[in-house]
Amino acid sequence: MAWRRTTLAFAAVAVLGVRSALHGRTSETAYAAGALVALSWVAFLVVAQLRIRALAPSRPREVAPAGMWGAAGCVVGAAACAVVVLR
Amino acid sequence: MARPSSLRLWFSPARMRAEGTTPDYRFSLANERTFLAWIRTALALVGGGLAADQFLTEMSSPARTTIAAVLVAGGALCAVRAVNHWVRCERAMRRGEDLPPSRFPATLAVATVLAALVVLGVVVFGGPVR
Repeated sequence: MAWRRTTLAFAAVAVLGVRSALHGRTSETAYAAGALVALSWVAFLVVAQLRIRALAPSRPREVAPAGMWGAAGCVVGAAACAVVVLR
Repeated sequence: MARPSSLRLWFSPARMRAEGTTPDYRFSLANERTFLAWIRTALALVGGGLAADQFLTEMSSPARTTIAAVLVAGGALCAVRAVNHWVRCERAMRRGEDLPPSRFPATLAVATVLAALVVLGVVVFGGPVR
C-alpha cells in the first residue's frame, strides 16, 4: 500500500508538471520537460510494480539498493524537469 | 576492515549483504516504509513548488519563481536524503548498531513552521499577493 500511495502522490505531481509545461507555452523545451515528468512517473510505476511483486510472497525478498535509488532518481528527475517548466 | 561509504552502498546489493547479518525482515520493511514516506514528502514539496508557480498568479514573477524553485530544490534534496538515510539505517540494523541520528526532520519542521508563519502574515496583514 505504501508503494501504491506513493505512485498516487507522484501522479498528482506529474499532472501539475504536465499542466505547467502545456499552459500557455509554445516552447519545445517546456514540452520536452513535461513529457519527461510524465516519463519519470511511468518509470516510478515500473519500480513500484516490481517491488510490489517482490513483496507478495509470505517471506518477501530483500529490497535492492538500486531499486531505492531508481525510485528516488525518478523524483529527482521530476524535480529537475519541474525547474525547467517554472515560469 | 574498512567500512564502505553510504554512497558505495547505494548501488551495490552485494556490498549491502556483506555488511553484518540480515535483520528481521519486518524491520527492513519498516525502513522501506519510512523511505517511502520521505519520498512522498519530497513529492509534496515538488508538487507544492509547481502549484505555487501556477496558482500564485497575483504575485510578482521573481518572487513566485523563487518560492517555487526553493520548494522544488527542497523536494530533490529530500529524495536524495531519503535514499541516504535508508542505506544508513539498513547498514546500522545489519551491524546491530544504533540507528543514525539526523537533524533533517527537525530542520524541515522548522522550515515548515517559518513558511507557515510567513503565509499567515501575508494572509492577515496583506503583502505581495494583495
